[in-house]
Amino acid sequence: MPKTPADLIYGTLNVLVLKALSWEPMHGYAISNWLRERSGGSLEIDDAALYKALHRLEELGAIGSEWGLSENNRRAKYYRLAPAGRRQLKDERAAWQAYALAVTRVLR
Amino acid sequence: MDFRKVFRLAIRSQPRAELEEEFAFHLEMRASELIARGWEPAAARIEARRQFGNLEEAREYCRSTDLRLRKRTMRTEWLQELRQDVGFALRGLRKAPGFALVAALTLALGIGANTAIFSVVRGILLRPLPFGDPSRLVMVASTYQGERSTSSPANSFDWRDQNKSFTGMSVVGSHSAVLTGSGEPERLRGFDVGADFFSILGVKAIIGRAEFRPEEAAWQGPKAVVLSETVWRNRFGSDPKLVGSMITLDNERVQVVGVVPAASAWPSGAVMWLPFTMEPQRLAGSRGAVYLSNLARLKPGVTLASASLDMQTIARRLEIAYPDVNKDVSTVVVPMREWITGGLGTPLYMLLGGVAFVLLIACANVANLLLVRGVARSGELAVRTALGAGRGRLVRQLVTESMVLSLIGGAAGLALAVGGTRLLVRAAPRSIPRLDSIQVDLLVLGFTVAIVLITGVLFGLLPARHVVRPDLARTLREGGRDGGQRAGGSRARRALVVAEVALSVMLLAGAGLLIRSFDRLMHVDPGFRSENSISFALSLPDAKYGKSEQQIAFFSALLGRIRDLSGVESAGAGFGMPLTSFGFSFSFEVKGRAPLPPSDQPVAEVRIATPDYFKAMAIPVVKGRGFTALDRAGAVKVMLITETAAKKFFPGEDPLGQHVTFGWGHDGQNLEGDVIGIVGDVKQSSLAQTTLPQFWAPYDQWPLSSMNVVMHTTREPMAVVADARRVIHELDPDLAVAQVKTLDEVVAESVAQPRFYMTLLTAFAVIAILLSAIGIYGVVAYLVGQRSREIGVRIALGASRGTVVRMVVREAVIMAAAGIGVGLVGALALTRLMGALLFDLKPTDPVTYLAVTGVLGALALLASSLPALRASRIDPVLAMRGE
Repeated sequence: MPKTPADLIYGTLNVLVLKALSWEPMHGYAISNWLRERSGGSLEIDDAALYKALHRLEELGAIGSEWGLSENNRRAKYYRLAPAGRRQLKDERAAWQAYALAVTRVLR
Repeated sequence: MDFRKVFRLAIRSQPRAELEEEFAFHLEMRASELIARGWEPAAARIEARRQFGNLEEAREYCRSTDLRLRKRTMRTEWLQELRQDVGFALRGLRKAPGFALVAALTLALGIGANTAIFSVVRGILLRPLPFGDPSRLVMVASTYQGERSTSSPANSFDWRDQNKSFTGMSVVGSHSAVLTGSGEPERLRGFDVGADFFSILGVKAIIGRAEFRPEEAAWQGPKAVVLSETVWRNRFGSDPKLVGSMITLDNERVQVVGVVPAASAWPSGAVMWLPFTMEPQRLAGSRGAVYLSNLARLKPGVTLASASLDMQTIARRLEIAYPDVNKDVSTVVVPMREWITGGLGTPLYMLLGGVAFVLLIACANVANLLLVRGVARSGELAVRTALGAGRGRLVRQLVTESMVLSLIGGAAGLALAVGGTRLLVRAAPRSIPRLDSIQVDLLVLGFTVAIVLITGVLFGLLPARHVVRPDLARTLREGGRDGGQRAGGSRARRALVVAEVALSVMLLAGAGLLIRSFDRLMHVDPGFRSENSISFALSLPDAKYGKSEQQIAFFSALLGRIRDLSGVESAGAGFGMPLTSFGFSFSFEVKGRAPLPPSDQPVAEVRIATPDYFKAMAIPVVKGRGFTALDRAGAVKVMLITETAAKKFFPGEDPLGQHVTFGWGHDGQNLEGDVIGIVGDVKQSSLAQTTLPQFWAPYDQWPLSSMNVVMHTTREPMAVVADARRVIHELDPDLAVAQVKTLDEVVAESVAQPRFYMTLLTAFAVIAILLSAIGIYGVVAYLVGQRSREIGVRIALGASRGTVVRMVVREAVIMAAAGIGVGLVGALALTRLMGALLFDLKPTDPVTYLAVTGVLGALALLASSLPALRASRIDPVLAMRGE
């Protein structure tokens, strides 16, 4: 299976980040690891792109942030999903599924 | 305070550090994960960095998003806090309705009065004139020995033809006429103007044309008139077919060629314009007869100075060419705005300054109220500080509160101003130009908003400075109760009272000077009796009364009938009313004296009157005899002279029997006569003016078409006028009775402007001293409250009530004395600017300053006596027990 650079599909990274945060507040490193695990390594996520997405989403008000303590007692910036982000996730997931379905149908 | 600097620092540094920390955390976590998987530490760090990707670009990107986010957050926070503060302020005001009401009313009064006066200044002085490109319009006036005067037709035309500075130049000469043929005859105020008058003025016709054709402006050409919108609307129902049709003016058929907008009607009060025409043969001889004004428009690029120089060169040339009449005659070029509103700047800016003082005093009072309130709240504020509110935050909250108060006061003030402006316009004397352009417009509104903001900061920041202070531990300990006793707070309060008193002194001094000056003006003897007398103007049209005999016959018949009316004691006719700046001066020669060139001959004003005019006006005959019915046409020509003229022209001589001949006359005859008597002086242009020498000639020998009839009555003068009007219309139904006024009104109108300024400034001064009295009372009462324990101790130790009263009153007297001292110095400096408004009074008039000192001293005593008496009744036991 060929690997897809995630930042080729810009919107995809946003929806993935939102999905990651829908479970619980996380810091950037944890999100990075979560994405690697969930995709089984099939998505090559550039950390720089991830942070850009996080800060952009924060500016847009989709996610919020506060400083907290990490598992190993270090200060870390935790992101959490804002109500606007929860709506966005819902919308984008629906759109993505409709799109994937359409593409799948054509290719069948 | 530089808020922006503080913000920028916070915005820049904090997010940057956070971003670095976030990235560093990520890289270290990744590295330690790799180390756990067996990587060499150094290699692990390099691998973590590699996996991260383009860190530089991400840093740049995130920095900019963070910055934007930060700014937005701060803005929302700021707005939230503002909303909180406003809500807090409103709740606070609702909890203290008495304080809120007094403060808001005080501010409303100050802001409202300022807005109203500013709207007057705006309308009269600042609003552009209603003409095209008004900054290029000028008036060219003649000067005689440096004094401004009107000009003669011949000179005016030479100026017009020879100048290189103006795109056009037009004469302006008074020419009123009676309109008949459509309803009641009406006298229309009109002017003779040049053919291109309105194109110079930059005013276009609403219908028809505003310019006259060359043939219309020529002698005995077709008669044409331009009417104002006002006449068009009121007399002709805005009928568009009026243009081109004929109307009857002074019994002559004249074609209406156009209608111009009422807003651009100039000179003031004009409703019709006729082309200036003159018989060519008479033009040359008219160089000595001065009665015209001159309007001109500067060519592009020509400055006022170069135009003045150009005109003076021409005047010099004319002086050399016609030395007989043009000796010492030059010109002056005056900007149109100055021509129209000249002389109004000083009084109007004085009023604006006065009303600004009222606002400052109002601010001081409200600041004082806030200080007292602030002290009461210092406990609450200290608690807030202890809970972590920054000092800047608290100041902001307090200033927000004062802004809210200022806005409420401003809104009420604006309502006051709208009403006040209307009242001012109605109360203002008609002689003030441009009253109709006064209204509350956007600029006035902007002015109000600006003073509301300034006011809010002014009275808000001072208390805030004193309320928010660093040693909150002490304030908390004391429960905020005695905070006001700290030197700073009470010093500020005293300073405010001193400032109020000083401002009041300055205002009262200004008002006092105007009152004293007006009083002196009213004690000037006008030279005639004004009680129970009434006058009206009557003008006989040339077409019907062209011959002298017809004019004489008409007035003799009319005055005979009027004298027979019940209630009329005496009646006469004179040329021009006194106190109305209406008069003509001519040079004359005395028979038997060495002949002088015309330019060196003495000059005097000439008046014409019927014999009974002197009786009706109660002008005394001091020596010799007055006119009688026997001084008629064909009899020996006679004249009367005034006492001033006798003293000036015949010092050490008996004027009676002297024969004088004037350089002016009509029907080819020079005005002349034997002096048969000396009469009392009459103030002809204003009470303030120095008495000018005058000659009187009898009407029957020198008849004129326009006269003012004066009746002295034994009953209500207005009722007699109705009878007189009936008599006039019996004689000729086409005559218009104009300018019906009692002589009391004539006198009142002549002093209307000084009375107006005096009344307004006095009103401001009264408001100012009332506010100051409240201020003094408030501060003294407060200090007594603060010191009640100490006063109680004193009483317990045997101080008499008198001692306590003296002690408290002394407080007020010291403050008042300081205020009066500062105020007197300020007043001496400021009232110097009022010199032009004072009649027969120096701005340093000691009586005024003494009176002002007395009034404010008494005020301080009065305002402090109540709290002083209360202090003397303090029960020492209660006071010492605590509260």
